[in-house]
Parts: sequence; C-alpha cells; structure tokens
Amino acid sequence: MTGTAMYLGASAEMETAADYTIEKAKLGVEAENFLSTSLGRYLLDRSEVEVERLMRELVDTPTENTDANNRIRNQIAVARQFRDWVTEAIAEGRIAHDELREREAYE
Amino acid sequence: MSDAREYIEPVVIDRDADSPEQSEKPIETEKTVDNSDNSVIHSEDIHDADDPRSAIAEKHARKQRAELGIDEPEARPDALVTVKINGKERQVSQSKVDAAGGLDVYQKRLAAEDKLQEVSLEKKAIEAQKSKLQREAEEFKRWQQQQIQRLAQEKQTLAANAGNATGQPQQGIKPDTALKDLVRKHREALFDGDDDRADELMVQIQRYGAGPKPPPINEREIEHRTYQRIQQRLAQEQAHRDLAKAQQDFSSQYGDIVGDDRLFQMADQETIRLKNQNPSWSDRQVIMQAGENVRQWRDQMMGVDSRSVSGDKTQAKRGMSSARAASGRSPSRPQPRPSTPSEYVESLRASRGQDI
Repeated sequence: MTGTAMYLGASAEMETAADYTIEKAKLGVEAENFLSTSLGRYLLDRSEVEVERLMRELVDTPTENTDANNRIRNQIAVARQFRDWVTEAIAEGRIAHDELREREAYE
Repeated sequence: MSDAREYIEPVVIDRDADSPEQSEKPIETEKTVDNSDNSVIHSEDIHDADDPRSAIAEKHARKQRAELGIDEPEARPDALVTVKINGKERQVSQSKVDAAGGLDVYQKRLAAEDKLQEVSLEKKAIEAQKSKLQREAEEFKRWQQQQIQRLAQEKQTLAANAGNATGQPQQGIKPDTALKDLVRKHREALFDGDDDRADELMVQIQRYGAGPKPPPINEREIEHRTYQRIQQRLAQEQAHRDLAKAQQDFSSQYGDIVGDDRLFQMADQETIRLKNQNPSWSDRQVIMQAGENVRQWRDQMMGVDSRSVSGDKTQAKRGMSSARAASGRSPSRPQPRPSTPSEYVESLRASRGQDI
C-alpha cells in the first residue's frame, strides 16, 4: 500500500482515486506556479492581447459576412484555450485540495 | 622428620579447564592412612586442616584459578547497554560504560573518537589526492619540456631548410619558378657586383621556403596555465567533498526529514529557492537552512515547538538519564506524525509563496 492509502485506510480502488486527487492538487499548484514565472505571464498576456485584437476585428466585421465571423470566432476560441486550460488546472487543483481536507476532517 | 615433598605428586595444570571445580580438584596422594578401625576412607578425608599438603594444594589451586582468570565469587555476564553515537545506536557492555564514568561521558568520548577517526581518514585521503595531483603536475611539466625541445628542434630544422640557398632543389620538393627566378637574379647581382642587391635577394631566398614563423614558445605561460588548471581541478574536487559532507551532515541532523519522502521533496525544492535568493551562500549553508526551514514549517503545522523536539542537543543530552542495567535500553523519542496529503499540498503551496 502506498503512503496515501496509509493515511486514508482505503481499498485498492479508493487508493487510486486518492492518488488521483493528490495529483490534481499538485498539478494545480504547478499551474499556479507557472503563471508566476516570466514565461507563464508572457503566454497569458499574449493570449489576452490576441483575444482583444480578434474581438475588435469581430466588431468591425459586417454581420452578413458569416464566413469571416465564424473564422474570427474560431480564432478567439483558440486564443482563449491556453488561458482556459491553465485556469482550469488551477481551479481543479484547489477543489482537489479542499476534497483532501474534507476527507481528513471526517476520518 | 620426613620431607613433605615425599607426599606430594606433581600438579598438572589443565589450561583448558573452564570451571572452578576442576581447579579445585583435590590432589590425591599415596599416603598410607590409618584404617585400623576399618572405616571408609574417602579422598577428601586426606585433606586435614593441619596437613601441610592441604595448604600447598590450596596454594596451587589458587594459582591455577588466577592463571585461568576465574574470580570468586563467579563473575556474572556483563549486561549490554544501548548508546547513541553520532546518530547511530550501538550495544556496549555496562562495564565499559561504568569504567568511562557514565553513559554521557562514554557517549561523548566515543563520538569524539569517531569524529577524530573520520577526520583523520579524510585528511589521509586529501593528502593522497594532493600528492597524486602533484605527481601529475610534474609529469605534465616534463611532457611540456619535451614538447618545447621538440618544437625547438623543428624550428631549427625549418630554419636550416630555409637557409639552403644553393639553388639545388631539396629532396621531395619541386623547384618553384619564383624561387628559381630569385636565385637567378641573385647570381646576376653577384656578377654585376651589386652587393646590396645580392644581399636583399639572399634574404628573400631564405624567407621563401620558411613559411610563416612559428610563434615563440612561452614557457612561463605554459607553466601558468598548467598551474591554473590544477588549481581549478583541486577546487572542484574540494567543492565535491564539501557537498558530500554537507549531505552526510544533513542526513544525520535532519534524519526525520530524510525519512519522509514528502518532507525531503520539500527540502529539495527549498534548497533551489534559497540558492536563487542567496547566490553567495555555500552548498552547506543552503542545505542546512533548507532543513531547518522545513522542520520549522512542519512543527508549526503540527503545533509543536521545534526546540523541544530537535533544537538544543546539549540540553537533550543533559536531560537524558543513564540506562538501567536491567532494561539495557534508553527510552526512545516519540516519532513525529507523518504529514497528511492536504498538509503536503499546503507545504507545496507555502514553498512557492502561494495562498494556502
């Protein structure tokens, strides 16, 4: 049994789930730490700048030009992907951390 | 009066005897006893208190016991005591501890002896390495001298070849048109009596095949570079040794952190953070401070005062009581509770300066 199972007194299935929760929490910490680095901030800023530019372009594009509208919307979605993925990892990490606290509180 | 020696048989000392009883075996004699009353005579009856043979027998028996090292009363087996020397537990006999003047004194003495031995071994290793590097430096210097001599000889050879102005082509070298032209002009200048011109042409001929001049060999520079290289290598090896020693000391002083994977990972990351913040710190300072920071964080999380657990070792030793002979073991310190997963995640956040 791993160290995690030793704390939770869990079965084999729960042992895997507990490890997964810990890994999610650790990933959230890593993601948050990444945003504090120069590279993380740079990528985030680039993503936001790109989204703003595309939004302006979308506003300037006539409504009837559906092709252009769809193209720009797709580009906006792509530009947001990086920010969405990182923030999602951070949020899930926080949730996983709270789950761990609740489990330990009930033991 | 008869001589008592007539009545005594030679004593055969059995050195393999392992019991006092054997050494106390009575010496049998062939004395004729008075058995007129038909009583049963036992061998022990021969040993009368007034019989001089008894005294002599007892004297021999005492001597034999002394040679065999048998004490009276019989010595009891020496009890074993657990002592902790430099973080390692050993079993030693109680008698040694008592002879040293107590558990504390014995521990301190052994710890000092271990350290001295360690230091002397390290010193020997360093001396051996130093002498090895010195030998290598001398060998390198000799090789350098040989290279210098070889280059000097080659230089002489090249100079000699360049100075060959007979006009005859050297073996294996094709006659160059320009060189032939120079030789012809030199001959004409000689015939014309133009000495200055002839001298100039001779200098050109000499320089013609010499090629670019090799750079002058600076022996001092070679020696200086060799010395610097050796110094760098010695400094690197010393740095490796210092790092290994610091890691060893960390293992002994912060064994509780080394024993826990999560705490050890925390300490590992803490060393990176401290090194980035304090580039001028030595590896030892970084490692020890990381251990201290992790320990303080752990104790804060568990609500324990770090000084009462690990801090002042001298105070801890003074408070230690001597082991009782009956138990042979000193009470062990309670192990700290292992951290939970959420505490581990909190430690990761704290080490990165994130909100917990």
